[in-house]
Amino acid sequence: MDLPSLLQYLITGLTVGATYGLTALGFTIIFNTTGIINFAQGEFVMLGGMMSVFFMRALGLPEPLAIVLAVAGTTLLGALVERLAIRPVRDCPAINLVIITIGVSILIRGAAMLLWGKDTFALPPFSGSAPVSFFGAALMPQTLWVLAISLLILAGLKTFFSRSIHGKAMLACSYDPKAAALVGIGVDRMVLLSFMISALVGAVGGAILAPITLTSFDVGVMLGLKGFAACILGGLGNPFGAAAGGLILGVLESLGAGFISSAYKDALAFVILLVLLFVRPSGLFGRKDGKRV
Amino acid sequence: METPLLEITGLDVFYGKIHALRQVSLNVRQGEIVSLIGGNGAGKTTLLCTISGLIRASAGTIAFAGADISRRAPEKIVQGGVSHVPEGRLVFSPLTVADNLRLGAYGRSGASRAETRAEAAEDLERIMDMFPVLRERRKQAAGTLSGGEQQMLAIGRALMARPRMLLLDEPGMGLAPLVTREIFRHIVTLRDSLGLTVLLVEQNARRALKIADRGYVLETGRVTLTGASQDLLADRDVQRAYLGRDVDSASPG
Repeated sequence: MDLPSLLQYLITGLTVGATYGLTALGFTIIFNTTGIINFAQGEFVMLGGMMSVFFMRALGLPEPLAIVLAVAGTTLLGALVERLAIRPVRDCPAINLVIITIGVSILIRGAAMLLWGKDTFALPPFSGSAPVSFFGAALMPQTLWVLAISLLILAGLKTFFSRSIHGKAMLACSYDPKAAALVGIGVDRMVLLSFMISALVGAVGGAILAPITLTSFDVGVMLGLKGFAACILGGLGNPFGAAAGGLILGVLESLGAGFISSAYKDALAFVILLVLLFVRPSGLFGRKDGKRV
Repeated sequence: METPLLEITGLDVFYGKIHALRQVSLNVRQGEIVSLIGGNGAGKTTLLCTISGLIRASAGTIAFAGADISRRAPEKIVQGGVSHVPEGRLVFSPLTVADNLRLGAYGRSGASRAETRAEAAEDLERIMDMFPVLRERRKQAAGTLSGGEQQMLAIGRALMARPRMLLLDEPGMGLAPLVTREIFRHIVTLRDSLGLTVLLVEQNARRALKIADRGYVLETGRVTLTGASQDLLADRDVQRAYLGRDVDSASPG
């Protein structure tokens, strides 16, 4: 094992891991306000990439504008999902809602396939594709974009939840929806907001990753599952656990692919998840007692 | 006579098939403290939750300051001037004391956002003056507070919405008698100094009736008795059922 290839695997892992982290953050935000896992989160990621491609190719828009529109479009769709699929049945048990989100994910995937076909698309890298040599490893400029934008989003969310009164109101809904309603927080609006933020974060992840891993109508399935695994890895409900879980998962996956075999790349993520669930069901950064108070 | 601030008429509430409140009528006048007493499962908490909009009534009206609020969403009812301090306090445990209080003003809409924020900051100071222990612990997570402090926080949080009326559900639950007495003293002060109207639910009927002007007795979802607090305290049925006094053996015949 030589240093440059180790470094190369690490860089690849961090890049992919950042996207897992963003997907996991999306899961976390919705879980925290509603107590449900939104299995359409992967589809939000897919839409971020696919809509960017669509806006660039079909409408001939410049890439930055295409991405902004794709993110805005996905955010809007997140709002629609909440209004049309979740709100009318909000009082149902969580498991029903989770199954509804699975239905929504199948619907979105199907619609994407009808609209854009089954082909794989690539988004051009944001600033060229000439690799920079970094201690012998090849560093793609897009990698830096992915890491920087992910960090920015994480910092933005951190500020939102720890500084803004709206962020705190959203947290309040997760701690105690009844008390939140009694202090005058519109819980419905907060749930809507959480779907929009999750869709936004997911779409950004999808758009910045598309130049590296390519995109197609069904990338959401695997990204969603990996993001979910990252969530569990980091401890469900903990935003920083989610982000860290994503990075850890990405790096382990990349190291596994490099040193063992890339054939087992996807399997590795779930093996890690299973082992962790046996050893430490509350996740690496989760509360040990597993009790939500 | 002036119209009551809160006027409930013919309220029916169901939990699934359980008829939790039957034709409940009750009123609270401006500046009054009214106590609602009754055993477990009598429907006291249900009544408060129906007033604050957490539960929908299937029949009847709830008029607050002349407007029917029975179909409004909970946040609109808070904005309209009714704050409910729920059973078990329900503070936001991981958030700081100060944040809990600030969230109490979340639903408030002023002329401008800056103005609302300035008002909320003023109220925050006033409430921390009223409950100095909250000032001391303002940076602490609310979950680390003692039961009595959490109750003060829950009341303070409700006051941040600048309500005209407070609904208090078992403020003394699980607290040491001394602490309870302090909380009850605060309730009286709120009425006397801020002119707040209070509807109080309490297991301990004697304590509740002592600070109240009037009382209602709720039994299996019905109002069975109502009157001035002294009259209820002296009532033989109330004494036997809720004040733990064995009337028959004390005065035979």
